[in-house]
Amino acid sequence: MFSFTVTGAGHLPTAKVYYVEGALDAGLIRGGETARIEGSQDRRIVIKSVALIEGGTGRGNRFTLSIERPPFPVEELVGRTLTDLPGS
Amino acid sequence: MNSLPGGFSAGGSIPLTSTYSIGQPYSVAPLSGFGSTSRAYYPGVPAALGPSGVFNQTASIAPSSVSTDAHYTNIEIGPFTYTYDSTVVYGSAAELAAPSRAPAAREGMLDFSGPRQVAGAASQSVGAPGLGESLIPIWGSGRAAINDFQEGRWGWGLVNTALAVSDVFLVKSLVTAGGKLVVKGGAKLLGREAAEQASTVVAREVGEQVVERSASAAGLLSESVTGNAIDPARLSRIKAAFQRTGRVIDQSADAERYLQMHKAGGVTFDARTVLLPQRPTTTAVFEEMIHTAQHRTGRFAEAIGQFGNAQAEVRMEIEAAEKLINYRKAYQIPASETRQTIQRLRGLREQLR
Repeated sequence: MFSFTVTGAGHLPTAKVYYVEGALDAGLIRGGETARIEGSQDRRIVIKSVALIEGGTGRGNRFTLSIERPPFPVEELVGRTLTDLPGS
Repeated sequence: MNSLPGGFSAGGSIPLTSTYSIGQPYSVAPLSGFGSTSRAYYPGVPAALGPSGVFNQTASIAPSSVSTDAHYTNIEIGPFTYTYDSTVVYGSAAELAAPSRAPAAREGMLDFSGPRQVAGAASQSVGAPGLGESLIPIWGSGRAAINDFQEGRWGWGLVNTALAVSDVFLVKSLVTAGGKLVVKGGAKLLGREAAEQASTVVAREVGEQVVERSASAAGLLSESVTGNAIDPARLSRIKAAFQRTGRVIDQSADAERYLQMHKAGGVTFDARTVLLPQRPTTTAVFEEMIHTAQHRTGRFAEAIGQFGNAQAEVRMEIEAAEKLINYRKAYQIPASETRQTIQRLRGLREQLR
């Protein structure tokens, strides 16, 4: 069971990457998992991988996740909490 | 075309089992689908080989049979130099034959052992220990030390000698503990000592004074290695090879902005996607390539499961830094960058204490 608070999100068109970044408040998080967005009954995102950021600041429990393109603007994830979907 | 384990095929005029002499001309066609070759290395000899030329050292070409002792690395391959025929395909026969390893070998990437030691007919050394053998206390490091000395790698010979000595204490502690589970602690101690000794020796090799462990680990973590940008032509070759199979090294304005915003020297999103600044250092380029291998082989995911996200990330950084230091010559990393990597490595290791 993980809980990930999204503090930033974006899209890198050349790399074709959609990403979210934020704090992992509990649990562990890996690529291939489907996350539920707390407060949004039907919305899900699929986490593709956890990025390795070279020399990036603000590490600790802060991570960047690449995600599959969501069916809504990725920026809408900022401020939301992701939790793992049971059985994912 | 010759068939190789792991589904590779090779062309060229070098038979799979032959011994070549100094001055003997050779010519090798690239492995199919492997792109072009930039260079390959003989063990311990800095001479680079092109797709054709003349051997400048007697070399024995390993047989094509699949066995743990059959090396395809009598001529060692440098980073991203993954063409040639079986004689220079990265990794041992067993590694190449293993399906899970094949993609990594095909890409000539950095997640194997890098430039390997060779136990070929031309070599007078005992040969480096195999993976299983290397895990045997005393014996593994002892053999590695002898091999290092015989191959002229005095620094690593000393490191492995120290390791063998520390193995003695490890074994003693295991015996003393009367079968208690001290393996973990022992291994940790051993690993730490080994790593410290290794980095100290390497630090001396690159002309650095041994630095006290006073630097802030957190500070080191947040710093990228700085230096001159990698030769653009070299970067282009690396980039072309990486992107040939649909992978991406993004150096766009967006990527640059992202990196600046995060004060990052590079980002590896996954096995196929890397962000680099427009003028990356040699270290940054190879570090991200190593990280792609960590993603691709599943080692990062495995480490997350074992240690949690934060520690897994540090462990991947440590592993990458160690490879950058160990293979600095093959990667042609400037000494000034290696010195920074050594310092950074120390900071990273502090994170695990």
